[in-house]
Amino acid sequence: MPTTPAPGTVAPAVHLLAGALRRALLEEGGGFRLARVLPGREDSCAGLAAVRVLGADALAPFVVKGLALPAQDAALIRAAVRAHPAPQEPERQVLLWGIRDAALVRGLAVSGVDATGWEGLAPAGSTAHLLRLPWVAMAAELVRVAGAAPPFAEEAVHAQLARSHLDISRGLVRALLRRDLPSAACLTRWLAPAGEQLTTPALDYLEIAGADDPRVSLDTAIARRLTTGTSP
Amino acid sequence: MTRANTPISPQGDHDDAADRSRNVETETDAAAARLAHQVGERALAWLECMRGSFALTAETPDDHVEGQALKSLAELALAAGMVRREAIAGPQCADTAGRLLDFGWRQVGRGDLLYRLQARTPAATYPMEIYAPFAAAGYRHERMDRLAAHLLGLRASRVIEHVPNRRLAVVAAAATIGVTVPDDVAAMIGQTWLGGTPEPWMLDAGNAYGVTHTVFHLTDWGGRPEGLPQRLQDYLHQWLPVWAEVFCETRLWDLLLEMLIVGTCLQRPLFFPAVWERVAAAQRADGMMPNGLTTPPADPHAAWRNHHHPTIVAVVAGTLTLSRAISHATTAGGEA
Repeated sequence: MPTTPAPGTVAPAVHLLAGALRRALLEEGGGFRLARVLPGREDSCAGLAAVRVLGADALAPFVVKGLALPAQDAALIRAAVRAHPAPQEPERQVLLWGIRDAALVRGLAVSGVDATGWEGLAPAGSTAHLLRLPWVAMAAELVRVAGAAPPFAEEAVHAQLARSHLDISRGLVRALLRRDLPSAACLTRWLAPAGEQLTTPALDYLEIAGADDPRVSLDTAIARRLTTGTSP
Repeated sequence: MTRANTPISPQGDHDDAADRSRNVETETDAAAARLAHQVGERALAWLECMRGSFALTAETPDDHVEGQALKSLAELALAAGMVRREAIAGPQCADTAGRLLDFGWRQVGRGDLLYRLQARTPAATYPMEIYAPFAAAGYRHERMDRLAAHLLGLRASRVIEHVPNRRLAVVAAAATIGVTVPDDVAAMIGQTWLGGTPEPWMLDAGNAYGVTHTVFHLTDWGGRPEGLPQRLQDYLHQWLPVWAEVFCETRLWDLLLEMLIVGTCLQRPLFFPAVWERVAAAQRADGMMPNGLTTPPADPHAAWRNHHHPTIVAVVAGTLTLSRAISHATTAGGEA
């Protein structure tokens, strides 16, 4: 069933940006520019919000394909962070945004941008403790912080991710059985680097069944790039 | 802020995680066993209370005996046989099981009815499959034994066009009756859904019943866990927790309880205390297990029609969980 963004929300801009990011990942060449995708001046607030919603994934084509991040796009991301700062309460939200923003900072660093001191970023958080949860809870939390999944994952959790492979796979299977395609797509991101044999058929399915949801398509496109080893 | 409702909160490192894990495992096994015992005992009491509903219609010609009614009697015998085999639930349950087995055996004419049905329909396997749980509990019919041995030795018996897990049911029935058949069980296993170790999200309710019965037949309902090939043990260790979790949401208690049984049939058994909590909460005060989201009729005999099967499965699941949890704890204690 096609996913229709709710009118009057940031969802249309998120869908627009997610679709453009996916196409940029799949297409050859490096002409992608965030600034060209976002809506015009009158919708700039929604456009910046979309950048914030997608977090580090806004950098996916640059990081995955090894493309240079144009200065204009870096400035746009900084403007988005400033316009939509991370919440300062409640604590759970602060921690969530800490993980998301740490992934964004890592993505920027890979792209040659130092985000130190940027206004609006949350204090850096880590996913390490999430990988110690029981599998159902772990999978639920990893879905919430999918923007911190590979290729934006912390170096320090790579070994932990490998040890948690079965638990994350269980989360993927649970999501697919429950026809929760967005969660399934997020979890393929965490599994993709290991190239485990279940991930490929799961991605095959998600690419077909989730084709109407731009965010599912973006997550599966990122995971596909990581499983096929075409990332730099 | 507690860990339960804020899992995103960082936790400290736990150097003694393995020890704690072992303790938690023991505690959760004990919790599962306690609930399983309670559910199984109540379910068995309900079955005895309702045993009249299992009775075949008196003076019905053999041709008109309902297959479903016979199947229900066989399942009743299976559940009672499990209580007797495991001998774990106490003398009162053992007495109840004995009475239910005697009742079922009388209903099938002490085997005469099954023998007549088998003799009249030699190509059919259901009479010997229904006979098997009685035979396992020591209720034997000499002519049925001879007839089953003859039929199972025929070339015709090698080529019955059953679904794969049903073919395993016939092999298991033959083994119970005491007949060795020359079937290639490994090839049969390979033709089942479970034997194919498919992508685990492709399980649906229909195939799930195939999985559970493949395990039941290969392990003789947990009596011979080593009968399940290691690769399938490994596969179930990986994915049974997911299936139990997902089917717990569906409230298909019948199927969920079968999955709990599967966990007890593994060499390293899996117990699911959280699922048992849901099962115990769903069981009605009189011991009957509901099935799905529908409300059972108030009239017990009307309710029996759609609810005797999940209640029978509850007896088997409760009995095997209690038994394996105790033996598992004993073994673990010995290893410590």
